[in-house]
Amino acid sequence: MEYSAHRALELLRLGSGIPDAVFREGQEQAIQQVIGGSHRWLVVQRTGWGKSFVYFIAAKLLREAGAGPALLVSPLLSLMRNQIRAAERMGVRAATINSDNETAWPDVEQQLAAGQVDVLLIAPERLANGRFREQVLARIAAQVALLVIDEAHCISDWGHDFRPHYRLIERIVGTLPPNLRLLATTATANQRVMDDLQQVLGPGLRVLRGDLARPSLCLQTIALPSRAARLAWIAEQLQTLPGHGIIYVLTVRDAQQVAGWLQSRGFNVRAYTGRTGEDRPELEQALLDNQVHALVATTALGMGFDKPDLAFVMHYQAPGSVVSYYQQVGRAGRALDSAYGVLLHGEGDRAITDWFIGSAFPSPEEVAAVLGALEEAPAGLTIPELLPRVNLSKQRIEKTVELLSLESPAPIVKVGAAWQLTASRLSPAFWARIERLTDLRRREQQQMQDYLALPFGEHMRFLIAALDGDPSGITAPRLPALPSSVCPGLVRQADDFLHRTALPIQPRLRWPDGGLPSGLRGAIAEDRRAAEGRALCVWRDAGWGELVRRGKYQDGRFAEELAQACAEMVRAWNPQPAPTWVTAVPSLRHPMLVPELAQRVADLLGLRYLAALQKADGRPEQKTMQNSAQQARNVDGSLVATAAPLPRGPVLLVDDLVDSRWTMTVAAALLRQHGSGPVWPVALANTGNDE
Amino acid sequence: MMPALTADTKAVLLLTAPLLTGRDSPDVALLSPRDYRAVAHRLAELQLRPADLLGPDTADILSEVGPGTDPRRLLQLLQRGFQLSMAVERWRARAIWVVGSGDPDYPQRVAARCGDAAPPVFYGCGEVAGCTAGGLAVVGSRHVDEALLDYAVEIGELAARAARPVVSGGARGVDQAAMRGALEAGGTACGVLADSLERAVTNRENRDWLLDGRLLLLSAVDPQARFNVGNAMGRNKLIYALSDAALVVNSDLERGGTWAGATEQLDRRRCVPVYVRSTGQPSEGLAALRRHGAQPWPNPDSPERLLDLLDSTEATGSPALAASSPDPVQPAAPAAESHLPDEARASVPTAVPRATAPPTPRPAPAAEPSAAEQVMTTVRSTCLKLLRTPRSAAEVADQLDVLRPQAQQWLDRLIAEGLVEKKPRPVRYSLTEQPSLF
Repeated sequence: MEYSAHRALELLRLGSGIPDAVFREGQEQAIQQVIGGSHRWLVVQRTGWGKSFVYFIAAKLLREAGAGPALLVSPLLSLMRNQIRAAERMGVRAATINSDNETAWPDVEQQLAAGQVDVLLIAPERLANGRFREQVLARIAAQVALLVIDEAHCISDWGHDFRPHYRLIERIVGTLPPNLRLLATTATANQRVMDDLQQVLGPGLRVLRGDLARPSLCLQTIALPSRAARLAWIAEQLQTLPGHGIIYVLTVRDAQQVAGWLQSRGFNVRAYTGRTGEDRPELEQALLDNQVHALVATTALGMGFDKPDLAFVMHYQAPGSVVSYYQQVGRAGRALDSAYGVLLHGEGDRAITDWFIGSAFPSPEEVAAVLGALEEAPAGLTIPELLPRVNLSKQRIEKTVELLSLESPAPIVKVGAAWQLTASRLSPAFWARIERLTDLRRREQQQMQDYLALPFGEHMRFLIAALDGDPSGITAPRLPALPSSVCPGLVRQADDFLHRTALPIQPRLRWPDGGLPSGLRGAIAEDRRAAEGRALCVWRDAGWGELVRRGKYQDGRFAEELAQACAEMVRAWNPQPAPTWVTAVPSLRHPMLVPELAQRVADLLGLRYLAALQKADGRPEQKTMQNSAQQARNVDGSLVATAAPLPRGPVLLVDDLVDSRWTMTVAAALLRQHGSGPVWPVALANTGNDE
Repeated sequence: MMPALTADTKAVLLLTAPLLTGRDSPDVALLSPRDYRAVAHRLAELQLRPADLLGPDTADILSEVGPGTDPRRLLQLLQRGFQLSMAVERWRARAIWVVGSGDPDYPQRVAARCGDAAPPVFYGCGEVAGCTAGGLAVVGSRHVDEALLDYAVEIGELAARAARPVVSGGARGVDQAAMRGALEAGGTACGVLADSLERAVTNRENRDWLLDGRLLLLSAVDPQARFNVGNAMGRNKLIYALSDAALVVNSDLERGGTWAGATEQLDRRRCVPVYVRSTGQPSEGLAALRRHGAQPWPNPDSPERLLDLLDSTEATGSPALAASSPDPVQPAAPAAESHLPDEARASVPTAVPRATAPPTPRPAPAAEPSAAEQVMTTVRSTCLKLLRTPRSAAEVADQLDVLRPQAQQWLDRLIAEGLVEKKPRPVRYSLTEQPSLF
């Protein structure tokens, strides 16, 4: 294929909008050799370097020479809007297909069929989706002229982040005949990852790898054991630090809590998590435009986010690996002379990363349960059909099914809507790999501990060495270290804040799919539903979490502070019509624990307490039921009303933990049925496991 | 376990296979097995392998490979690399493997016996070693009485005791009875499917035998391909070619797949000895096959006798072709078929396409089916399309614009052929649920 250097440069200038732009080192050679088909390329460069110019210009030149479209696989489609705009300036017609834009699929399909798409961008999960493969991809699969794999480090087991569908990509790439053009890109790959990629992407692979050191970044680690101290530190520093930034946290709950605290201190910050949904583009844009001071984000604010003048990246907790950390902190100071990257760490961080490691893969028991249920069902089972048969949460079932189906050969395959066993058994290699990956995560965790212990000035060298980069040119930090002390008054206020969180308990509106053994099914009648309730805290949360745990599992009695906090919460909440009496969810195992708490709350509120409900029989503890279908069945028929008729007024229904909400739902229905007014649920803690 | 996909076989798939990954895969001008052989011969002359077509010098090679094959067409086929990957991934997930004619696991009997008409690839599931194990082919029709089913089961049991596979087509009736007889007696079986391998491998009963390593399912057509008469007939000769000897349990006279497959063997191919059942209810069809040269089944009464019979290599009529290397670049001498005058083919009443790769447009076979059969062929394919959605007889009549009794008659025929099922309350006709072999 003829390569026109003139046309390539013209496209670069159009795309970048810079009339005298020139190619960066290696960029043009990669474009030329990829379209000529003489070599496959792996481009390892930081975000913002211009990887997208390589593939968009290559795709455009191929199209102009009469070849078929390019297919780009990237987990970061939502973050590619800037790149797509640049592509459009070059006249590249890019179309995106992902799970969020299903309504646009027919249009895209039509454009594909008419040959009007130059680059089709898809998320890796699409490649495993039957409908997409059969209805969209099948039409163009024969014409795909260039395959681009973004975040290619995920292909390697030695990559720092694990995305299950890259297993599929690894196999697809491994099967490609050598005549298919291929370009792989990533921002970070250590030597081990590059060796793996060399293996998968084939002989003759050319690598273009940029310098990893970031002289503008001033890195620092600060140990602050309590969360209140960390909240206080961030609030204190935000007042003086110039510019805009990101505060990374480990969980969605942390993002909400930190953002809530900072907002209460008057900072213009917003939480950004995987659950932020449709608002994500707007929040990203707000930060790009300096409309917010900072985003408090989980890793959902991912690799492709590019704000050259980001002035700081703080971490509220220590992440699980230094490579992830490097990627996150590396977003700061790209086009600035200096920027801060500060990692706070303390109690509880390790437990969270432990949890991530422990729950990353299904256990042998989970796999056995799913395969066992499928063994019993020759015609296969859908996910909703698996729920009543397997006592695992829906999320765990989905994860198990997904990982099994991504094996090759796979022990299960989706036929229509149902999962079916195939003529392959699960290979022992499945478990060996999980073990290997888990070991790797443990080593990464240990490496992070080593990083935390470094003295000021040593951090960048450590990170570059961990990535097998060249640490020789590293210079001393350009900024002074930030103070590691924090104002005690502010810590107290942060502590108060952590104890002041009341979370809504949404009422359930429907009985579970398929109904209950007692015959309840469909919508829950309005006069049988619970009203919206409140939980004092999240189970194991900072703030009240520890006191709740101690009361339930250690002391057998909840502390006086908890009863007072409950009463405070109800007063502040002030539900209307106001409750006139209080009752408790009964338990056979701990007959006094909750009624005694409810009694005290009633006393504090000056209301009457009445034991209106009783356990009908001993059931397994509700918390051992792992999904909604199981939980609902477990509660059904387990409660009876003791006194009838009940007081007619609105009632406060007290429990210690709320999990699936089925106990509250059934209890509320019973109370209403026996004549009570509206039921206001109140719990000490929400487990957050709800589906 | 699963054989690896070789680079040569990738090239062969790109040139000859539809690589179905969905219903809407656009049509492409694939090479027929014969066209492919021509390319392979030419590559051999150039001292090249199929895999070289995927290297950096493709354009040069293609210009050498002609004449007769348009290099642009070949290039277009070879550029389907991503589609190949997606298709292979789909097969692999279902434990389906592919062996090409250059691979060591490719059934050598087929390469030697079918020559240029041998399928360029086999798709399979199960123990790949079964490809080269030979065995006793057992064929017969779908609709037979209990006595003949019992007979087929017993034949399967005997093969099991002799530790030889039963080779059959996996269709209902005699095929399945013989295979089940073998498998349930602890033996092995090889089912050669004409369609829907992908669905057959997840069928629960098949799965258990497959996992056990005793059932091998093979197909020369894409695992997603649906039923079509041409593939079914092409499949018949593979059953013979994979075996050491064949037993026809029953056959219609001068019609149906069993008759066509058996007479093709007896009159033209002569790969293996063909026997006909010689006990029980007499049959016009079997008697007529005797006149075509089939031998009476000698009713071996012990595994040893069956082994003697299978190991005597004398084919009916003329000696079997000597096995030769299955190397695709050095294929066996062309089979006798290509030298036969058209009259010989004309004696086969149903159309017997020679190629096994289906969607390639080919010149009409020289055999001229009867006018009635031609109509029925059209009716069959139209109805099968129509009945992907279950319909009543009235709806079918309406769609075809014929009187209802006519539609009913056609539907009854399709039921008799095992292609269509009738479901009660309300009465609806739909495609036969595929494909439990048992």
